[in-house]
Amino acid sequence: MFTAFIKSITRCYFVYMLALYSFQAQANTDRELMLRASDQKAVARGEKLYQSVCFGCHGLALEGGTGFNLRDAVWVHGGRPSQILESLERGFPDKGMMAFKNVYNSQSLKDIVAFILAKQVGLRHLKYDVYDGFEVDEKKRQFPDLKKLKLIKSVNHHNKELDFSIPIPGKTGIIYRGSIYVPKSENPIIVVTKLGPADIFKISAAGRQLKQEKFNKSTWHYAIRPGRQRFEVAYFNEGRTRVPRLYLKLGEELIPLNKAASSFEKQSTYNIIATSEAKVVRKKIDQLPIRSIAVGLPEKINYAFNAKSCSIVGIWGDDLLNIGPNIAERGKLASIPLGNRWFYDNKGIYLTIDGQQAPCKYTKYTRKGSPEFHFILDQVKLTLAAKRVTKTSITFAVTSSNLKNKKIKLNFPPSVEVSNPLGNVGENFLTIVPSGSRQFDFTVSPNSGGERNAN
Amino acid sequence: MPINLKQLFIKCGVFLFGFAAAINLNCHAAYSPAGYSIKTIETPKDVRFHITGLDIDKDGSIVCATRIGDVWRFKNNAWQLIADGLHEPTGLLIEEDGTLLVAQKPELTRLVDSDKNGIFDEYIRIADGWEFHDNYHEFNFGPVKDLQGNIYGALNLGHQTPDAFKYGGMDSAGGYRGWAYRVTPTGKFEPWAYGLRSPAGMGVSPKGEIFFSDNQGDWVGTSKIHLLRQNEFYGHPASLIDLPEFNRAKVAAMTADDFNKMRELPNVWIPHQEVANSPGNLVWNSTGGKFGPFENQIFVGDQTQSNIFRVLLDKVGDEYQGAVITFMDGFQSGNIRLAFDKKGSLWVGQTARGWAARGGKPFGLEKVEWDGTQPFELETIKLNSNGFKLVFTQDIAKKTIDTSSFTVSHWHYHYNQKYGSPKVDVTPVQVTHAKSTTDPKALEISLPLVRNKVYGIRFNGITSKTGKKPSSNTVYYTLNKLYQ
Repeated sequence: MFTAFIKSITRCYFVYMLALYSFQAQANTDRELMLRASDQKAVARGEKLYQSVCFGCHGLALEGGTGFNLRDAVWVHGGRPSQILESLERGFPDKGMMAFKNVYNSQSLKDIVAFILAKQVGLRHLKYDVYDGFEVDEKKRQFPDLKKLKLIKSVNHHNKELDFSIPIPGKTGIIYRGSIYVPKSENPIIVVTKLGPADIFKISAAGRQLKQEKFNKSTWHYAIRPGRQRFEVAYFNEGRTRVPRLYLKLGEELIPLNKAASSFEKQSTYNIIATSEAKVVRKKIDQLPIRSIAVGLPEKINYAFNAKSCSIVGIWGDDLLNIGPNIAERGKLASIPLGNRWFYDNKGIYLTIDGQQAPCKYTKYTRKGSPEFHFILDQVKLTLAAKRVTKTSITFAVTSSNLKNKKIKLNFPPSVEVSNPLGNVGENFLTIVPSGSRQFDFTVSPNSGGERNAN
Repeated sequence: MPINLKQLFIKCGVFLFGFAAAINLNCHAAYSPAGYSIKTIETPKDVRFHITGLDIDKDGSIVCATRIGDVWRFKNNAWQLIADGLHEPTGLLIEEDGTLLVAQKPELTRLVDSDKNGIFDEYIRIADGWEFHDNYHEFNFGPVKDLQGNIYGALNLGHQTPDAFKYGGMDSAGGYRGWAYRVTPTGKFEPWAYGLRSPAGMGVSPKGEIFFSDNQGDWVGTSKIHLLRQNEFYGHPASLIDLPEFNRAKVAAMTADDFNKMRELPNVWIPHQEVANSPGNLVWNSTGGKFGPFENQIFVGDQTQSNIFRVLLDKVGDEYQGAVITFMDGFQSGNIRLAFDKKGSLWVGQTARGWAARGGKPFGLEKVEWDGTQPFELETIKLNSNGFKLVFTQDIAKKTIDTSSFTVSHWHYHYNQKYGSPKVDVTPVQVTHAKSTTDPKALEISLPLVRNKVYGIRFNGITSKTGKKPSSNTVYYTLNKLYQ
């Protein structure tokens, strides 16, 4: 019994010592790397290596790309200096990052970590207090006496961004406290824009209040020194819905410091709008099938023709597409149809000839006037183009030299109505016998019981 | 409990921030042959001009396809938008009849200006016989055309494609991802070869041979150049699932050794960092001397390094192998597309969106011009039975032709699913003999030769008769085959 107890104690002791040793070793590495980050020569060596090896994935300014942003507060694989070093050494081969310990010696990898540490930027470890009972004096714009206000909330924010939308609208104020990393740069400044006349705003860094300089009507500049330092922002307003945006300006670069600023910068808008003539766009499009070709008509109705199925897979109103998300960075995101949806449907509006479900063969589109799609269905050459457009309907013309005595069936989704003067309407289909004509039309309008009305 | 950075700073009591001196690594060329300069062309104002397709028309006008989907013509110093709405094109070829072949993601398309008003109004499907899954990485590279009129393209593998087969980092959801394809003059689409990863550049030699470059990553230890041949396997296993004799389970059960027995070795390895990270298309200098002394050589741009390097092909028996050497750096953005014009200028289409480039600018167009100054650079390198023959562009100072002028090592690369490979078994090689030849521009070195190695040959001690040093002083020769 006693022997077992001694064994257990011994085992615990060894486990404890091992953990202690491991922790101590990690702490030593952290300390060494942080000291290295203050050695300008090491940082310069690290920068040279980084700009040769790492920038392709993590960006020239460590802003991220394929790889993570390496200068903000988010460290998915651990942000301790020793953890950053370990990530470099081991790599993430499955995610496209090789194990660099096989390529560079330990000193070189430590230099890279030193460079990364020296390039940290932005806010860390924020806490905030919310106060109530604030009275605005627009003339004096005096900072309130906190002792006279009621502290209603005090929170560890655990975020890298300020968020001025946290206070309950009303006579409230918020004070954020944390630290800020300001890399060496020519005249670093805090930029605050969209401040209202009634807003009381105060920024302190390293224990001193930063001097406010008016840049224009609603933008203010606050010069700040480089280095890691304590940071405090106080913001009192009277319940304005428009929230100011804060940035750290380093040279030409604007680094968002609050949620409103980062949301503003993330807006990725590049609208394609048909004004005087039709637009045709092939892109990855949200909710539309692959190989869709979007057409925007100046009359503010848009449709998508699918080159794989030769069908109309979507119709929507207003402007054509915001392709911004699809042309930003690597283009992983889909373009977004603008305006009101009549329908998006993988099958959409499609033709069958003489009851055959033959695969189609798309051949081309032309862009003189209204775009015209050419395809072959059951060995019949066809073209399709928008012919007439009103606010509530779009009429397509289908043309072929070989429609005589063909039975055309036009299938459509329940969210639209499709009509033809000579056609017989069934449930979600329309049969047409063109009777010798080279062309037939069909008109599509949103079903009043459909998903959304164009009006 | 993890300790965050702030706590550590406080605990250590060290007020840290060693800020690096602002070292601008982007603006200065590390190597550039005498007589060559870079000229930047102004692109249309407020247009995202990421050039990924570039060709030069008979009248000398420059035609560019951009990643946003536009096609522009640059003529008489003015830009004209001639087509738009394409799906991230990554290649453009001007045909004899003035039509344009554009490789966009879902389709190889011919653009026709039917009424000759300068605007292309017909978008004709030439080929789409592959599957496209709307994945961002599923590029369609090319097109290039051989002397028989066949058109070739190459289909990038996907990345994080839903329901795809993955063996390494990149994947295939099927439908000839990771394949090269051919379209015959009659319009027939033919899957041509497989095992490609990210073949961002193709090129056709004056003899009509098709080459392609592939980017470093899983199963590609370092970027490389291959001669494209029908039904050959170029190393990435994800593409195998489209072969009738394979399926996902069968490929998944295979090992690197199995694939190694099947694969084609590159004609030329491109050492990572030292030469290039993300090579683009290959162009042959057939300018008749207008671009200086490097006639009939291949020039390739690199998107990451914002540089251009040369490929010095050698033929041993029936097989190509050869070397790479840097040519020029200091470009403003990522060099992905090159084209020579009739005046002998080398045009450079650039993009850095999503994949950063040393040059820093997001996109652009530049050209390299030669002013007639004869540089002193390595012109060619050829294998012989004892070592290599190096020919320079000017007479060599005889006193520098000595074994001490050279530092040589050889290595190889791992072949596995890990992303990239370090140099493996780097071995110093002693140059045993260095001698001049009857050609005052040439020298020969003798050294032990081993197959399946990359030889890094640094000729730092060599100078010209007039005392000039070459701006690029290391050549990397891929030795697959020896003279018997």
